[in-house]
Amino acid sequence: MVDKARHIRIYDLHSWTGVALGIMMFFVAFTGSLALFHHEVEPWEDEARRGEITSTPVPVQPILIKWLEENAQGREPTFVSINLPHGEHGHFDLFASFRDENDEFEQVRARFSSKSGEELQWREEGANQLIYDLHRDLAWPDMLGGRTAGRVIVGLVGIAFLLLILSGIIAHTKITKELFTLRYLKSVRLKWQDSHKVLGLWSSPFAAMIALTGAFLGVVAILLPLVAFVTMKGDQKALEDALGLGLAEPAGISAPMLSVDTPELSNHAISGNPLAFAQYINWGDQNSTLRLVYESPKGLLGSDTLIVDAVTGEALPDADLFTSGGSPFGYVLATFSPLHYGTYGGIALKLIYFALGLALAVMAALGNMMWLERRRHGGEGGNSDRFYAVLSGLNTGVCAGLPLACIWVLAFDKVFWGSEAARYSSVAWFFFSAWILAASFGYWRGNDYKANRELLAVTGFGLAALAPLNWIVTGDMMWNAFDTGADGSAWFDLAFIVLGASVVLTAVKLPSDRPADKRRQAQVEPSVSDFEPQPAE
Amino acid sequence: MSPIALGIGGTIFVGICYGTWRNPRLWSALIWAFVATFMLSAAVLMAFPAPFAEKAFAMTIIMPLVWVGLQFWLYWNPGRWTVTLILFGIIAVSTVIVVLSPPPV
Repeated sequence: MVDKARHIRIYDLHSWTGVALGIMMFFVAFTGSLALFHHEVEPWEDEARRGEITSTPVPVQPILIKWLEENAQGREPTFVSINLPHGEHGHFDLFASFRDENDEFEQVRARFSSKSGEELQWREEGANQLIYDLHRDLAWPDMLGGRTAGRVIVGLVGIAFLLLILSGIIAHTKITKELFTLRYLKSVRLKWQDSHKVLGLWSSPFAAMIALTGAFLGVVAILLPLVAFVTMKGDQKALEDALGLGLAEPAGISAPMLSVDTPELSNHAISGNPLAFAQYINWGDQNSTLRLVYESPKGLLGSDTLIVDAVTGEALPDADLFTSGGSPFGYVLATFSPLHYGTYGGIALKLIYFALGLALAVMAALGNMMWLERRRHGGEGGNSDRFYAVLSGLNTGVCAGLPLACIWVLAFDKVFWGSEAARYSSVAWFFFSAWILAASFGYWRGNDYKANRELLAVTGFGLAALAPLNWIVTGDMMWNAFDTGADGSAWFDLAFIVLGASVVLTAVKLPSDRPADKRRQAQVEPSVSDFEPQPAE
Repeated sequence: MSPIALGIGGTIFVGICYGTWRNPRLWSALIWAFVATFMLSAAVLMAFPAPFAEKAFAMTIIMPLVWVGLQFWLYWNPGRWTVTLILFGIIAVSTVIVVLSPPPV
């Protein structure tokens, strides 16, 4: 039983943590919901990735060797990686890291057709990658600490989210009743309060899992170097060795590399899953190893991994503590990323994650709205109504403007006309400009209800317009793509139209002004006796 | 360490101490719960008798839960200073273990 003073403390903890991080929570949850489809949306984003994947790809090893020779320029390739055709990905993507005599590294990459073996133009990352980065590390700029700093901030949001879930559940003393209470017609505050509670309580197991795995994926980025600093007296190399993450040193003796075209390697010996990724470490050296990753789209561990000697092909013990089974906790940690991104149950699971992720975003926004509603119309708070009105306008603009900015940036990326090198930075600048514009509109509109409704309507129309835009820019009419086996892009066109129409319909149904509080109205409505003549003083 | 960095670090430390004096729950939830969790993790990594990799993976899973648990405890416990003082105790004992123990192998 929670005593009253304790209940107030826990409630305050929940309330103020939520208010301080509400918009950040909304941002992370919303971009995370979109980032779930990071791989699936690639054919929609890049028309070069459309088309049926050939069942008889050309051998990749001769292409790889020729490409390495062309790029080596007297340098040693260390890591050499190949993305093989699988899923929606129909090309060979080659990556190499060259080390020169000054121990400086240069990364090079290229894309080749799996049908003809000819080199294709490399399309730089655009809006899809930006949205993924925004969720993962806020696309944090280098001058402010780079992606690691951004990742830590997102990880800290995960920690705060865990605290919110724990304090929220404890603060609700009548959970079983609140799970089934949704008073939509009483007052604005009760409607939002009940929606917040119902969404929060029903999604709490999912939210706890997302928060814990997200905190791990983010905070671990600083945790390991800091633990190394303390336990290994600042020696990162000693930590890597203690964790078994150290790499074998090259022998300095040249040796021919085992080909990934070898038929025995093309499918996993036990699961039969196709080879999706191969990585040579110490390329061309007698001490080279080849890491083979087989696609396992429905496995919680994400992939089947095989390590072989890159010269003899002899299987080597799996030194990867995450997948080797040598550490039960390593196995648990290896499930965190698939659990967080929902990659273990096909597209149906991702759609469930998408709905739950949006529910978390809406819950965060509702929390902020409740806090402001209590201050503007509930007599709480010590600041002026003008102050809370400004906060409310910004909250509406920032939250309703984020989906709009995401839609606009996808459209901008589709019609981008600049150089490939400038694509990512251009879409990033465009995204933040669009978001600031939308947030400013929310503030300038002066009526949160109208602003929310109008921003949502524009988002819906924009979403539906992505399909015809794709048709105009690429010439791929969605109906023609169905039944071809290369319909990944067409499904997104269809989803955009259906979702866009749903968003517009929702916007139409939303009120344009704050609904009158029936209970309060009844209290302040003048009764007949109020009009009775009063005796003069 | 340069005098400027020392000055900035010292100012931040004094600010945190002042904040803790004024509002121990809030500042312990913001700062000291993390420091205690981190030092406790490091002490367990150094002193607990188990393979290092196993301990490291276990701690990376447990650490976020301990961190949040301590933050929550600060507000659950009725004493304004009780949990903050316990956190200081955890930090002190863990630091002694970390300083005195040899690096794990």
